[in-house]
Amino acid sequence: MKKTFTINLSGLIFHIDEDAYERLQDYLEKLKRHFGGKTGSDEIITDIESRMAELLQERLGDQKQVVSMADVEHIIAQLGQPFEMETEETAEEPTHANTYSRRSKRLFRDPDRRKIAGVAAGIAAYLSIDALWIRLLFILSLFASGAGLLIYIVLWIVLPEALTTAEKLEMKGEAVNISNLEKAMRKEVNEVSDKFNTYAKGAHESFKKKVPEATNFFDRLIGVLGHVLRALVKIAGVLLGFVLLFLGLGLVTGFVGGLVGLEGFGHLWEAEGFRFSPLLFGDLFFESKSLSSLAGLSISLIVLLPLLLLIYAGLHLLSAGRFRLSHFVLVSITVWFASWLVVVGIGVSTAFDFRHENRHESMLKEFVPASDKPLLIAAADNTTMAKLGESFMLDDERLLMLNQNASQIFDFPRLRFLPSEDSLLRLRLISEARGRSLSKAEDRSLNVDYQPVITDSSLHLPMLYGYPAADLLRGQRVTITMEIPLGEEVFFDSSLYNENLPNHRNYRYFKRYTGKTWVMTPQGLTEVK
Amino acid sequence: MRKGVLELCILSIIGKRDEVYASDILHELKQAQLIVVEGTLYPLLTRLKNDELLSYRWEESKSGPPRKYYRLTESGQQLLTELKNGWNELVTAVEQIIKIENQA
Repeated sequence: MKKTFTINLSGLIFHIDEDAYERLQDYLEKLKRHFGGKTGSDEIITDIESRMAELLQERLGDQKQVVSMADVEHIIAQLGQPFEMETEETAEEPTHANTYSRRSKRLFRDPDRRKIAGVAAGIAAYLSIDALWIRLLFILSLFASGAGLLIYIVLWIVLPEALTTAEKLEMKGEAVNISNLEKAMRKEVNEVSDKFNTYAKGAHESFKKKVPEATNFFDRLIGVLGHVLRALVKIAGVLLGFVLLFLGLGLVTGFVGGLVGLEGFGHLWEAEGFRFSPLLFGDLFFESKSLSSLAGLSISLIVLLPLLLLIYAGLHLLSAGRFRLSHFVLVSITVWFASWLVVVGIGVSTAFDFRHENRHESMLKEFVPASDKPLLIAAADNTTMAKLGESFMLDDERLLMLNQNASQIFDFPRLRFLPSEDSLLRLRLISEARGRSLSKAEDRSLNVDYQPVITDSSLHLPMLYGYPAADLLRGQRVTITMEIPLGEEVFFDSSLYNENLPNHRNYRYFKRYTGKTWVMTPQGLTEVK
Repeated sequence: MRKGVLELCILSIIGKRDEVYASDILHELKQAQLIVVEGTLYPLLTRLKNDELLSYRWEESKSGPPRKYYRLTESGQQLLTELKNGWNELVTAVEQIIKIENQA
């Protein structure tokens, strides 16, 4: 006894055995794949289906009712395998046979050796290595913030399963010729029939024991359930496609919009006194403009490629597999990994430029302060302010500024007031910088320009220190420490607080001190009421 | 080479009988042993139709699925004449050479 299906070919109804049905479907699937890219492919398929209907009808005649495997094999032989239908480009090439047998491998999911969905097994077959290594890689990449999981899911969605024998051969890169096909097919048939036999035997026996009449009903129920399930899976696929597509599009828009926003609309923050430009920062951080662009590009690719894959997967699902770009997935994954390599390379090379730190300390002045009135601390008459161009935030502590032609970087110095251990007032200037070598770090720390003006009774501080932009952002920092004798009074002039300067913590700090007299105590500066 | 020949044959089969459907063309081509598998014909027909060398109309069939009856368009007719001329020239040229070879 065999189960039959009813099919509609070109408007004609046929009853067809289950195995023959599968073979026929398989064949049509192959034709669709073969003609997929061409114009008028649907029409070609329809014409061929119509011819099939005609041939089947001829073969069945009046007596036979059901299309068997032999009938299907016969008409397939008559219509020919997709590659036999080529008359166009390949027919004129003398190497036709060769090109076909050396046909490039294709990436499929391998349903025969799968653990989950056959992604790893498929890749392994493609690379002709043991699937163990691919699985190991996937498991390891789970620790890279779960990237492996995402890649696996995307590949699961995008890669077709190797269903037909020809596809299974293609997956392994074996030539799709008659003898190989036959060999593989025979193996498969044996395996399947073995499996089926043992299963059927088991099922049959268990049914016999329980409810023998129910077999038919169960069969039908399962058949119906199967159809419902397949329809549901299709709907779910389309829904998932929509979700992936919009998620991908949304994230890409968000990312690109964010970049453009930071770059172009960063001045919206100018009310707060700064703007941030990723491009500018990159140029000041990396050793050359091209390195900076490369790093920017790679980082963008690392973010964008998985999103493009999401979009691709979405379109693929929505189009029921018809939308496919050959090698898109493979190329994007390769580029993605390459981008990581570039980023890591640039990162390591840049990190080396931070390797050594130099701390240059100089005693500006050491003196007994005039005791009749408080020491005056005021802003130096400072012309750099007028030259300021862009300013941007580096982190919450530091605000960086550039002059108008971006040749110099400016920053606020840090001020520290400590009680002196004797009666001397000491002013120290510490400038720090980092570099690939100690001497490079030293060069950079010496390039930092900061010149307070000191007299016995006053200290005039420039508001900003500066260094050449060519020195890059390499941890340059200026700290001024004042050791003040206990009991000595200090007055902070209101010039230190300038409304026009960017509103920043280092600077806001002065708001508390200015216009008041402070005295040094063992606990630090205390306001004099 | 072969591609052009197949096209010529298809066009002339259609041209000869004014209106034909695919199975007729298949029958003739197979008899002449010009094609091995039937599937070859359909991409060619579709392409010729898309190039507006052929037109077709549907006709219901009592014994089977509805049939597409193809006929030549004007440009199809033109191409057929050109191809035929080209073919005749080629045949004459080749025959001449073969004859000379045989005599030598």
